[in-house]
Amino acid sequence: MSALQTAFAAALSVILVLLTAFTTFTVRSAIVARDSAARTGWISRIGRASDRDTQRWAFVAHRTTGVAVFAFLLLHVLDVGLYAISPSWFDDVHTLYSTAALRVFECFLLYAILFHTLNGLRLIALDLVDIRNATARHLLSLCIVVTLLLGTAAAVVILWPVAT
Amino acid sequence: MAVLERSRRQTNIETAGDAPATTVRLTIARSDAGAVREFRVALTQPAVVLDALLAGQRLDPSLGFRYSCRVAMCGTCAVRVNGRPTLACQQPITPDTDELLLEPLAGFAVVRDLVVDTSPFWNAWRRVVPWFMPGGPREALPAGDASRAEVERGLDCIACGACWSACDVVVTNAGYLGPAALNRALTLVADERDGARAERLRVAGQQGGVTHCHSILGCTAACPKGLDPSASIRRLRRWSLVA
Repeated sequence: MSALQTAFAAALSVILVLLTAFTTFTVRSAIVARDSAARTGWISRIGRASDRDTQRWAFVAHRTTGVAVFAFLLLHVLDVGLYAISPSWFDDVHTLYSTAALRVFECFLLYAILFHTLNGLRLIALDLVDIRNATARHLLSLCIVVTLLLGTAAAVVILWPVAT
Repeated sequence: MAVLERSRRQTNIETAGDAPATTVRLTIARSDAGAVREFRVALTQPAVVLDALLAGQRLDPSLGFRYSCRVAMCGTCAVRVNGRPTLACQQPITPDTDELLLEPLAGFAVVRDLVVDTSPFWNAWRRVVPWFMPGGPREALPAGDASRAEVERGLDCIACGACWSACDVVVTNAGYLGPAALNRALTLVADERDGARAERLRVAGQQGGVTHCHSILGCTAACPKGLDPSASIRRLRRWSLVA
């Protein structure tokens, strides 16, 4: 790997570590918020009845995917901006995007973008149309299904070159 | 963990003849680390969670919880049953129930066992000026009037705190007014006879107000009176933006 590619991989690794920490913090906050009096550890409380509220977890997922997409966007602006400095530097870094590891990362990124976009539209609809709780839950299910369908279809296209 | 047991006759003061009984194992969050947490009580059907708590208290008189009206009017007995906030006097225990986990409302400091300090809830309630202030037309709103329907939409709130317990935002944002206070604000703002509309909209629109709601809808799912505080907040948000 060239120096530029190493720097890009290092920056991406830092983003992924920070994102994992943020996700852990957000999930922990969501559980502790509902269970401030509990004596057991927060990890052992995952999956309780109070946690089976999909809209709560949609809120957590919306936050996490939002931070993930924004963090990658910052890095992506930098790596695309390399073209203004040197087209060969741009080519050098962007060779990484065709590796298997980055293709897998792109799939997860696509799932995150899809969910964040669709759930964002659901929240806007909630504000504008004043839909009821049951409808909001159904719309969330629709968001999840569409995310999985579109994401999986796109993932096949993204991973096809390394799978064949 | 010790399990206290009593016979059906001892735990049910209203047992009559061959009325069907349900034996339930209660796990109750106790503030004293050494206190008994698990109880086995027998209840005559139909039974509600408050019956189980009273049966548990007969086994251990130190068990702390609040209740008053027993008919879902006062909002005093709100607790979490299997993690979900509800009124103990309203939550039925079905004949096929084997176990129940009872905990104090989330988002409040625990005073003792299931008793919580609701001061933050009432402080938020006070901030929206929760009483009617005459200032508009003095005539009663006629039945069927659109304005009256808007008022009645959130009027049944009994301030039990279940929505507060279900709201993740109040825990992470101490300044947030919470669903009940904002629902109360909407009820008064919607009333065209009210004279403090501008003040209430100002409070609702400022820091800690309607903009902090993330539309998780936990409050709406939890409300034991079937109200929709989340819709009230969204409506109030639109009105405060226009104002």
